[in-house]
Amino acid sequence: MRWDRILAVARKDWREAMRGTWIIAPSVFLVAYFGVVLPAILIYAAKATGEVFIPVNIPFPIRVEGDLARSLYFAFQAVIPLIFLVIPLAVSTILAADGFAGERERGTLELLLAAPLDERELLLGKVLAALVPGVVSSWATFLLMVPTVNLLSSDIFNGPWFPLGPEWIIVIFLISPLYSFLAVAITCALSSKVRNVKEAQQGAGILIVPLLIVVLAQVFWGGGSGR
Amino acid sequence: MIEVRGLTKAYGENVAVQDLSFSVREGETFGLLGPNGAGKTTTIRILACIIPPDSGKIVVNGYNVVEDPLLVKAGVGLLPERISLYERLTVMENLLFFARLYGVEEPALRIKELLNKLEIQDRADELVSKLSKGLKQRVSIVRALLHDPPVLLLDEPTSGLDPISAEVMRSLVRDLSTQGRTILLSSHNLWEVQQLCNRVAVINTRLLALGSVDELSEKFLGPPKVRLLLEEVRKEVLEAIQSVNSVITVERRDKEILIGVKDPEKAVPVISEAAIRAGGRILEVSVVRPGLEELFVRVLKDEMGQDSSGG
Repeated sequence: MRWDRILAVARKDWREAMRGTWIIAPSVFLVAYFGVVLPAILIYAAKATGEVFIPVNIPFPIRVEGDLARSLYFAFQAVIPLIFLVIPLAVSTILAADGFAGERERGTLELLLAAPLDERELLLGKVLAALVPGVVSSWATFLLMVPTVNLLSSDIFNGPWFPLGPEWIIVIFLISPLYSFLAVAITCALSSKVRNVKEAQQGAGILIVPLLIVVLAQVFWGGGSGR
Repeated sequence: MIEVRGLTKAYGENVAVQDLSFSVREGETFGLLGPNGAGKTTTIRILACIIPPDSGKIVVNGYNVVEDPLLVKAGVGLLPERISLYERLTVMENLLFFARLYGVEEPALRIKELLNKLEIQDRADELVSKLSKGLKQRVSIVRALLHDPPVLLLDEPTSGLDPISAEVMRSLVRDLSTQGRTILLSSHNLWEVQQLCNRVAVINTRLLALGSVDELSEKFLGPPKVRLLLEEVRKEVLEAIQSVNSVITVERRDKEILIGVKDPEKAVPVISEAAIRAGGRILEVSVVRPGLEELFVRVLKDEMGQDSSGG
């Protein structure tokens, strides 16, 4: 297996993606929305209403005083981490779905298959091409979210407080990339089998199911014991 | 250089190629002819190791397509029927990408050399999407030649090109042929195949005919003909022509006589002399060789006739 060929395939896909607004614009939007807009909305909404539903058995490792702080703490520690699974999933699956099916649609897959690179090199190149932008988008969102949250809520928490605990490191640097890898690998495999990008994207829709299960688990985990 | 023995490929119930056998010699330009759906593209895709055969032994450049696909691919330059380039990348980016896949040494230098040769060096930094179809096809040829392959597989290389671009492409194929490359070319343009190819195979799922155009013409359409255009066709002239030794058939069409002969170049002066002696006034003499188009239609009609009589 030759890495120069794998990287050549990935670099080619990145270059193509960078030239197409269909991938750059939604990715920038996702990063900006989840990194800045959504945290801002949550914080301002919490400040405006004051009271938010919080499951009582959520542990509070720091001293959180008042409903406002408790509700924000719950939102950012229990719900927001899921965003870091959604973002790479959204960005990477668009690229992964296009990986083989898009090349087939545009007639370029034939040349890749006729080139002297083995199937593993081609597959790995495609997986890498789809995985990296998703993970980078996820990290970029995190890097934007940290100052945004701390800037807008430091008055409630008496200083910077976000992120809290090692679970964030695990989510951002381990679970998010691993889940993305799994999603990309499945979507690439799908993309290589179906006739067009649309079919690949429809097939990849199934990948949202594990996230829904996590969301439902969160709700049921604390849902019965709300305030 | 290319050996195909008993190649069979089916897509589900649909048989694309059945028990196809032919060989292409080193340095030869070989034409693959057939109607739509005859299996030409399938054959080329198998030779390029894009799809595997169901059965048969296929050797390209000394390597078996099933056992050593990577070695086969390294020695083959493919020009697919559909222009296949990355539209959002520039010409140079496209070519550099493929140069890296093929492990071309000093890729930038090689690309510049080929772009110069095809007179498109000033288009290197243009996006492929901005190029005309003719220019895209030239870039595709550069891409196919990047790794200096000894074998070229050209699937309908002039399909959809304007006449000037098509002529540029034909001239390029001639050049590549004189460089000693082995070329397998499929085309709907029978005139083009006749101009470019040493030998042709007519296929329609299976092999129908194989040989040089002259050989096949003689086999399927009879010998070439000498055509005499006379001021007046008299009985004595016809008899004089019939009496010439090398004449096989004589056919009269108004003021024209079509004479079937074995060796037209040798027969022309003898026939002309006989006609003049018999009092004929010749306005024009020419040798008529049946074209590939006529041959192609005849071969396919023969096959259809066999099929209908067989089934």
